[in-house]
Amino acid sequence: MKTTESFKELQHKSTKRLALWTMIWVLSSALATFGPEFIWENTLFTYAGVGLFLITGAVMILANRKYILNLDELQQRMHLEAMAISLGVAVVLGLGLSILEQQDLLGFKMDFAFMTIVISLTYLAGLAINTRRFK
Amino acid sequence: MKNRIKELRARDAFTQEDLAHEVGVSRQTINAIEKGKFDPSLPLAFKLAHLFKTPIEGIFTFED
Repeated sequence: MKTTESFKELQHKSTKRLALWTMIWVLSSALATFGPEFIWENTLFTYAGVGLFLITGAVMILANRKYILNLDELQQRMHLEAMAISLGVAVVLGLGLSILEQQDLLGFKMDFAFMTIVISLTYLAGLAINTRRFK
Repeated sequence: MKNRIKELRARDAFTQEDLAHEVGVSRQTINAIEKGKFDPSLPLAFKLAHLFKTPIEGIFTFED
């Protein structure tokens, strides 16, 4: 039978791994974004930077999967519900804004970074609500 | 679903943290089960039954 000590250790380990790979991915994102502007002028380096960004992103996704699998059943449910909300909001809001943009009715330029912020905030809000709900 | 987790935990002098430790979940999950906010999976229910040396139906009671 799995003990809480090992459960806690496992959670701690997977949280640390996810935090580490998220940090590396953010740094690789900064490198791929600002490298061509401030560090190099060679297009090959830009491709390499984007390649690094994709590879670290893939590792971060796997770390996140592992993190979710190491949660207990209630925690998994809380994350699943938060993900359902953030995915739904992203699809509905994203398509809504896209329709407005196609009709030239959107007052600003649609940027995927904006959707990333929306997804992150709705995910965090969903988790906060569920944490309170099951307290 | 109603349950007797709190009562059985008191009987065996377990804290929520102890019980969580024994069955491999978070303290928050034990608390949510005790308050009836969350129904455990069958494997977790079996773990609890095994720990309290009580049949599952002696711990959990189904109600509509």
